[in-house]
Amino acid sequence: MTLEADVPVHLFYGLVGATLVAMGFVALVTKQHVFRKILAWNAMGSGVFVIVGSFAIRNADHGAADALPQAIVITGIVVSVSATALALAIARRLHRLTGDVLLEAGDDKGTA
Amino acid sequence: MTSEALVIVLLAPLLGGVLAFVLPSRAGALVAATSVASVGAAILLAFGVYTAGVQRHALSGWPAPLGIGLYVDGVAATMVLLAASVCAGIGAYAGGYFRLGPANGARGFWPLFLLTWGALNATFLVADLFTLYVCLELGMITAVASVALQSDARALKASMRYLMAALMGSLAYLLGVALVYGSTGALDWLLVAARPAGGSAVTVALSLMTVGLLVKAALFPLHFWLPGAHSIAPPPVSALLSALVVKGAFYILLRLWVQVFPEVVVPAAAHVLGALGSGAVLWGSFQAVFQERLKLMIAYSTIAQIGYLFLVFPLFAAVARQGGRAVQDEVWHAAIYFVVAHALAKAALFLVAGIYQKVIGSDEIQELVGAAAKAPIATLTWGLAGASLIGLPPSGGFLAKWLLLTSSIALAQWFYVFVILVGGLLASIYVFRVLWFAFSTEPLTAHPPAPDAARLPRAVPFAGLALAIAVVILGLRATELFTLMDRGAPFAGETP
Repeated sequence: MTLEADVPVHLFYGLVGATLVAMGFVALVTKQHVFRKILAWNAMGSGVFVIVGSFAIRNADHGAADALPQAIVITGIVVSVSATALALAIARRLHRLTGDVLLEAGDDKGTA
Repeated sequence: MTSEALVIVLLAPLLGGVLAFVLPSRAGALVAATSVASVGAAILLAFGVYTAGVQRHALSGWPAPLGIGLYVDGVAATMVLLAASVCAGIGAYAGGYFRLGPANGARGFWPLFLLTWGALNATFLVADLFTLYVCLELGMITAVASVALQSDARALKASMRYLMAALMGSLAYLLGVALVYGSTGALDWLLVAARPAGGSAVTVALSLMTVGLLVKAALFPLHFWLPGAHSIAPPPVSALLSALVVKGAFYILLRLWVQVFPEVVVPAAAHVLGALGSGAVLWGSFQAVFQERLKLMIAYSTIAQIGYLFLVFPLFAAVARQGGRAVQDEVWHAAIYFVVAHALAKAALFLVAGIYQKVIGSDEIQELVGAAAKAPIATLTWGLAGASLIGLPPSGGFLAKWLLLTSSIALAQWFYVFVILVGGLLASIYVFRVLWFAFSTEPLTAHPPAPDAARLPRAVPFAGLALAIAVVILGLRATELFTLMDRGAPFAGETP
């Protein structure tokens, strides 16, 4: 008896991914520090990728994982790396100008 | 012929953007060449769809399940044409505008502008839900970077807020796409639509994609990032963001709800979107009326106008319940026509705001006294584009609102009739308030003339005027555009 027969592996990965997404979402909304927000977003992104990966396992054909979710995850990682780089560049410049990197809630008119 | 045009539309702005980054000294010529090529190709593409109907193209000859398909129906061709017109206008304006500084503003602006344009074109043409995610991300990253162009703390915070909101939205969308693939085994939206897969997974997927796109389209109450980002960015960037970037998300949403998952959508969900849209119209308009700064006012007006777009979803739901194919066509026309009219008018308004800022030296609406004499062409542009925003004839905005209003009445959706009328009334207040100050001659407060006033190149105001005239022409000659929109429309009898 294999592990797959006891616990559906794709379900396990799906639940792990969903947990990561939920944790990341809460942190992204509640934390004010920009680095925490960036980290939270990356955790969320990893969660989504794990969920996508779980579909690759579920759709596996004769032991070979479905290739399309892998392509999605690889492209998604590229996108997330560039978005993170942009966020870090803005955060660094913000830190150099103002000395802090907090995004306060409620200041939506850009009057800060 | 059409497929060549398709390639040019997709590649010219991206190629131009990369080249403008590598060769900043030639950026002006590159933008001019890109604009000419893209406008020409967009017209060819629209003409091809107009005469020959829907065009499909498999990239590199790989068909849909594995490769990425391009799908050009009338709506896609209309949007590409719209993007080309608005971007050509913004490009012509920015060429003169950035000559006055900031010194490195133009250098950063050109590559980002062209790449955003390229991402938008790809968004309108690609039929693959995951590739749409990549296009949305590309457009979002370049848009955020161009908000940060001014690189003072205010602009950086606004762009960071925009980035965080948009990133959250795109992850929600991506998760939805993953669920769609998991439950239907397809990513191409034409294939997904052809494989009716009910069940809760698809409902969850559509909800996630919708919420993600609502953040990107800045529908009330998820608009919190928009006023800062759109009002602080340099005027050409604001014009691009307000006119086109938010529409990219709405465009995908419209396709998803009307063409891909019509059987998943329940009327209650459509009315939630309608209620949010109504809230956006009323709240955004009220905020716009009370703003002191011109660009912030225009940004709040964008929130209100985005709200109008979402009124079409409950109208579609009402059609599904009560029947009436003629009304359905009318709502479809209204949605696309509203996008087109608002994009042209809003771009023109932001371009005018940039000119006023240079001529008056201030962004305060009360300081605009005498602006009509100092910038007559800009003021004329404001009047024409503002009339379209209010919905006064003859203009594209009038026709769009008229279609929306008559179909709401035909479907007995009286609440939305009320919202449309009140929104128009509030729009007339904030549009005329600016004209009132611009035409007053007695300065309320004395301030020295702005040093930039004399150096503004003469051609700059005419770019905005061209967009405003386009929106007036749109109100006079609508039949051709309606015929183009009907190519491959979901209910016009012609199946894709």
